Amino acid sequence: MIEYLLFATFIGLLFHGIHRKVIARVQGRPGPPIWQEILHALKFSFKETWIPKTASRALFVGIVFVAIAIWSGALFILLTGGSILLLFAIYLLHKIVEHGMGLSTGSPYTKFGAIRSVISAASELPLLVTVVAIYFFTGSLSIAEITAYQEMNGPLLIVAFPAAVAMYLVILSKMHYGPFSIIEAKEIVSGNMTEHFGVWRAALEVAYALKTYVLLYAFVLIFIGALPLWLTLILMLLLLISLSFVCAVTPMLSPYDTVTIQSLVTGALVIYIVILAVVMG
Amino acid sequence: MFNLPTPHIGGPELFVLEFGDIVAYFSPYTALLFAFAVLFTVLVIVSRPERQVDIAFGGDAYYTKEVDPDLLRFQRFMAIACGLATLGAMVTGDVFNFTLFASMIGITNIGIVAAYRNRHVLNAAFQYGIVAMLATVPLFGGAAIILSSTGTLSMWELFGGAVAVPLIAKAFLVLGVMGEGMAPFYIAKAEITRAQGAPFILMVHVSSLLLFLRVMEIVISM
Amino acid sequence: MKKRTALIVGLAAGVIAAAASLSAALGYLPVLAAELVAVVAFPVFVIFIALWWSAKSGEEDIPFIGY
Repeated sequence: MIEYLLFATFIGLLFHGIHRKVIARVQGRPGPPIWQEILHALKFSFKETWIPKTASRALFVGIVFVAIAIWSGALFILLTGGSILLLFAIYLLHKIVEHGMGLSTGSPYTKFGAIRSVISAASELPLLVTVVAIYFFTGSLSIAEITAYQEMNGPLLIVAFPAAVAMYLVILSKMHYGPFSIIEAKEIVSGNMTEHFGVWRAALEVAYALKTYVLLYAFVLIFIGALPLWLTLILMLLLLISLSFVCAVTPMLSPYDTVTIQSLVTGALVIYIVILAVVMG
Repeated sequence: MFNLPTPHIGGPELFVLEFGDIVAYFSPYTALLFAFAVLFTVLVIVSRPERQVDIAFGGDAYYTKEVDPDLLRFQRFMAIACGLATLGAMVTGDVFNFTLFASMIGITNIGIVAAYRNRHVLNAAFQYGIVAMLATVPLFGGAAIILSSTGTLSMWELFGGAVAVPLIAKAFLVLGVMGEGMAPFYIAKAEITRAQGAPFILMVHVSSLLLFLRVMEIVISM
Repeated sequence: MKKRTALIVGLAAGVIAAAASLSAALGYLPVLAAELVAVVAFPVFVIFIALWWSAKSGEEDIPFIGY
């Protein structure tokens, strides 16, 4: 199990590197080598580390452990075919990690990051809509039964296309350098990660790598189905590259525009759910 | 003796705690939420608040705010009360108890920031309080509609296929919980975050997110 | 925290996680329990190993701080 976690961390960091490379090439820059993010995580882990004097010590350190633990848990939920409601829960708990990271330091920059994370609460509602839409089709929220349903009836990507779009938006809103990544915007230094340096930052890189792996894997598993590992990895890579194209050609939105777009998408999907409920009884 | 009727939603039941006819239960889903609430309650108990740094604009000066020990004690007490209410809401097997815990979370959330002497924070807490109070009407109304239309409030009965819960009751429950601090009604919360005491302020978010997750499980299962 | 303590805690967490996954593979432990152990031990492993190799040994040269 720990070997799978290490594998997922490695692949997730590699994906982050590919993400940066693709963005750079789309924008006509050479870009860093694709293993740059792995080097980054290692570099941070070798730096001198302490806890800022103004920080709330227990929360400052504890939140880093929680960040890694929840996404390792999410990976195991996917592997054992648990409930996607659990996955949704972990996605929401990640929000708490973002708040906690930003508020625990006392720095105004991290606090701005945390407050932006509070106001972009609309980013998780599309995921909830996805969960409900899938329940309408499969009658179950267990991943094992969802993949079984897809073997019988074909991929949900075709049957429940709007739900897939919602999940795509959810993944996009958590990508680095994306249109919705206002909580780590450069005008507030690094947002809520500003004060987590050295080992803490390296551990957060590990947690974010696991998060990217889990979200991409979940998309493939829920909307395309259970496939051999190599094919899953290729599909995850294709999904990531499509996300990188979106990130490369869109500017970062202002916080209020972010909330507006996410709320509009959620509203559209709620209408979709109501139509589904009427059509399918 | 007990069989949770909805293993395909939150997983099979792991452990059951009987209080007379009120039966609390742990499924993998509620156990995860419970563990998370315990974790953050422990963090509230052991951690001290951060010292916020303020920058004086137009110069190089910055200073850290002082921590008032009396305020700290009161915030910590309220945050622990909020954590306990969240724990109750996570595992209860009764819709009325759930609504009671939900409204208690709303009260303690205001309590966490009420002692903080800052006009913006108190304004935000006041507005949050009004929304939370308004939200108790659909919250308890939803529970009342469930009781009057099905004759029971026990989740063990409601989750089974035998009773049909009206859609309006489900919508009311979700609306009530959203009013305690979820997406469209969270406006006041951004200002609440100004207050000092990160572990305690964080409890405001932890409790409302966990409450929302729990009500989703209840509503989908019914 | 001493450099040595960080190494001991990190290695212990790694060994516990590896032992849990091995005993789950051999059938001595339920898979759910092994996963719980891995979820708790993995962050400890990552952070303490990093704290170990980023910590100073206390025998470095004093850096040149100018005339």
